[in-house]
Amino acid sequence: MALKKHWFHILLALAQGPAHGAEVRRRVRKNTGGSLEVYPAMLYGSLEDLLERGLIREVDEKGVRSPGATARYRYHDLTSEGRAVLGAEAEEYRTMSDIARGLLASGGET
Amino acid sequence: MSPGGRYYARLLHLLPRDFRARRGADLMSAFQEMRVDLGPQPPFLRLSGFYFGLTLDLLRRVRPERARARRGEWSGPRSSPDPSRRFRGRGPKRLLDTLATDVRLACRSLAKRPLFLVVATLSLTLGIGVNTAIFSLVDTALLRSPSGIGDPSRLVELTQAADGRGFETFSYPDVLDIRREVTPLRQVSAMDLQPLSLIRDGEGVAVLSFLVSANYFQTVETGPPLLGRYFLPNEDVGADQHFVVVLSHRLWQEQFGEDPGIVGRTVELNRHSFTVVGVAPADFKGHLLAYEPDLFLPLMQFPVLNQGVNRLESRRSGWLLVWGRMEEGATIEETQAALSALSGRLAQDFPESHGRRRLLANRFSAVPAVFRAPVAGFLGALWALVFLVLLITCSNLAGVTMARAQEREREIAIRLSLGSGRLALTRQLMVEVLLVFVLGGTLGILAARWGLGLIPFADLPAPIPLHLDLTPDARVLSFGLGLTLLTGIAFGLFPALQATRVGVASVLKGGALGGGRGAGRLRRGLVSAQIGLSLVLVLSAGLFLRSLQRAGEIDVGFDPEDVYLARLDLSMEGYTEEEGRELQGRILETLTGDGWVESVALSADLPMDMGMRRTVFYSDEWRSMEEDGIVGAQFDVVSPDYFRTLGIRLYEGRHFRDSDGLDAEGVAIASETFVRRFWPDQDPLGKVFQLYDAEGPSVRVVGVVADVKPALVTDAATPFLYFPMAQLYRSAFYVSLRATPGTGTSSAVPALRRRLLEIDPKLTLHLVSGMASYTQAGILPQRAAAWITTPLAFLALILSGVGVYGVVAQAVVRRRKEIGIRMALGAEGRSVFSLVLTGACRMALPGLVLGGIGAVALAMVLRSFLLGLGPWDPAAFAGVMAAISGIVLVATFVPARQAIRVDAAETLRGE
Repeated sequence: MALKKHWFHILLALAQGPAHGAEVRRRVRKNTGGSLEVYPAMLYGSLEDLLERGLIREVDEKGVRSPGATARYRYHDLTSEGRAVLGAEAEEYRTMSDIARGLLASGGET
Repeated sequence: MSPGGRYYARLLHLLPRDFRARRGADLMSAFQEMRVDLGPQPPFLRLSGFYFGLTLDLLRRVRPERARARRGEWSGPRSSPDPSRRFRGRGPKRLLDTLATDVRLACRSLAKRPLFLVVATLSLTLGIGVNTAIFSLVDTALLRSPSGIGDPSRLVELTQAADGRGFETFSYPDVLDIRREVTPLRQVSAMDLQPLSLIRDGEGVAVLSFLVSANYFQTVETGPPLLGRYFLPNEDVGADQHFVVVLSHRLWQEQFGEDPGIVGRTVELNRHSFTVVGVAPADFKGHLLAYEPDLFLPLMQFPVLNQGVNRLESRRSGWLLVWGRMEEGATIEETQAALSALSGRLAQDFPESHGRRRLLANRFSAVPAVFRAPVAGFLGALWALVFLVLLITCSNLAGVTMARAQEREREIAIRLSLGSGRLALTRQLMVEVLLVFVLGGTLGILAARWGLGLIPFADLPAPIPLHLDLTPDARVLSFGLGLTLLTGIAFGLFPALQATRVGVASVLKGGALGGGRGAGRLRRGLVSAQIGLSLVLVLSAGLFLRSLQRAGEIDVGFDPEDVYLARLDLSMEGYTEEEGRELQGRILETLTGDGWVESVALSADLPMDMGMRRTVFYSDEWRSMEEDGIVGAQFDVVSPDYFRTLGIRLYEGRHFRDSDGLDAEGVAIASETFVRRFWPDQDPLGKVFQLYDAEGPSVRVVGVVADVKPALVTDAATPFLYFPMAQLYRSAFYVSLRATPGTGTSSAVPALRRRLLEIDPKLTLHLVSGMASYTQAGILPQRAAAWITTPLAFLALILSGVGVYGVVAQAVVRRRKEIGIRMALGAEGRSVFSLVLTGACRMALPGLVLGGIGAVALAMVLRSFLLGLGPWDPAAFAGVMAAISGIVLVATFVPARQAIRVDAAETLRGE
């Protein structure tokens, strides 16, 4: 499956540990060297999308699962499914980059 | 919150509510953080890029989030069975959504009832259309101030009053006194209207001139002249010296092709050369309603244009209309006080002419003060009538809406019991009504615009051509729209509120359609009101029609059929009196020889042309009536065949003869009323009296003729004298001829024009027309009123009939069970019929009584337009009562028959 670019980076950020929205945004920026700015609506909309698909879940600050939390910040964490999807996607990227690198090295001849 | 924050918060409202509840705070704080990251004073480009990105980001999420919201509602426990509930949110976007849905639902519902839609829209188009049209007339005549005029609130119109009679003209010395002594007035300007003949390429063109004092343009405060200049102060002094003219923009356009080099050129007016010194701005069309000047001349040119008759010096002859502009800070009260002081002085100095006169200051309006009251009265009465139509239309629509709501009672009750908001239901019902109103209103405003354009003001048989600009302005448009919305909301809201006030339990419990008793009462009241209002309307239409019919029957004293006329003014053509007399003789001679002409006559005036002259006469005998033996009467100067041509009956004595010339004895013919008033029970033939006063020339009465109506058919006959034109030369006169019957206007009018121009091709014909159309002008208000009210009365009758039918039919359905039981118990069809009829009559009665009272009240207001018909005109009243009762009966009969056909067994089985 091809994961949307935003989703991939959000999942990647959450793989570094549970985080609230603002923290996710900061991590994405850091991970991409500032080249990807996740704007708020996209960020929180994507979080909702990912929640709906069961790729992430809401937790409290200590990482305990707490759906519908009313705390100041809602923390998110990868579900096992999310972790699997992210792993598969990373593997896909690796394969694709290997192929690409091979192609470029051989000067474009197969 | 910063402006940016407020902007973002508002932007968030585009997102669904659920999402905002969950993530709104997060979004806001993310925004704050990003904004802080940007630094306190970012470069403009970066800041705009930031907001652009934010906005784009949010807009891109709107669709997915809405889709999610819908998915959530479907599966989640918060979903509602009522589609209207989905929209119970806040925010402008929600409201728009809701409205769009309501409108869609309403359109669908209306499309299912095309007959209702068409009838409702048409009647509203008519109702709002006539209201807007009449308002447009009111606006033009009474509310709007003429274009191109500076601050009308500082303008005052001066008039005089004597013996309870108002008149509007002043003598020139009076004007000079006012200018000198009434200090609150900064400018005092005098004006006379004069038709002139402008010679273009050897042909005469009739134009209307304003002869004005030099400060006219400063008084009305027009903008600067388009070309050249206005008049100079020294052009106000010295008669016959300043041959200058200012052209109106229209004349400059039409006759001179917008020639930019017109200033300095000469134009020929009444055979005199005038130098054009300026062109007035395009938006200035004079300051009087309907009288649009073609050009402006200095008042000092009056003697030149009128064969040396110099009215400028006479204190007795009032001929000038006077306006003034107040100083800054001066009030109309101060002006009036100064005028009153001047009145006192003039009364002392000139007791015989100014003894009883009072000078008055009036607020300026385009309609001269003396006409304002009748114009306002007539328009007001018309307006009241057309407003009634709108009320009937609206209450009818309200009734239909309520009936529909009652049909849907059960559905509404179910929805209410399931938790639908009353507000949402009311709104849905209302949107439907409002939609019809907006449609009808829009069409109505367009129809008004179109209809007003059809009125041929320029073709009205008035002595001076009328120009009335009825283009609806913003005020008229907002009136139309406001009226639409107001009536729509008022008549849509009440039925909708009533409909949703159903007793949920009683309706749901079973068969009995029990709810909405109040609604039923309200609806019967509405129908009753419709009947009453229709009565008022139909009666007024009836009275107007009857007065028209009467106008046809009224003996105006002459027979305008087959009479054709033209108006000439030889003074404009530069004829001397001698040449003029010669030409008059030639006209009579030439036309008399024509085969299609039965007889020809000349006269200074004609009956009902609104321009009858009046003067005073003296006789020793009259000292018993008037202290000084001087009596006033209208008069005309006519050629021998005048009475034969116009069909005025000669009662006694003889007609004028060709031998009644300058060197013969002065003779006169008196009207019946003159004789009755001034020589009661005496033989008038041979009586001698003097013109003007004891020193005036003597004339002997040689004949008595029938009275003619001087101006309007409503006028009472007044004392009238005729003098032979051979003895009293007039340079301005009518040529009237009686054609052989069947000649027809289409051949007579061109023939008359051609024959006159054959006599002198340079003549300016100021009017050529059939006399019948000319005298029709005398009953113009009645005709206009009859034209407007008759179709409206029909509409009102039909609408009331529909209203009665609707209510009775529904009552029959509601009482089906009761009727069934009665029939089962042996009641006859007749008694059921009378039961239904009694109900209908009970409903109609209050409306009839109140409507009758209203109709009589209105007829009293309109009395002066009714040509002597009282409000109790039996024919009109009987006709109206018959019409209304007929409509009520027919509208009752159909449902009543259905009631009799009720199958008792079937109805009772339903229990």
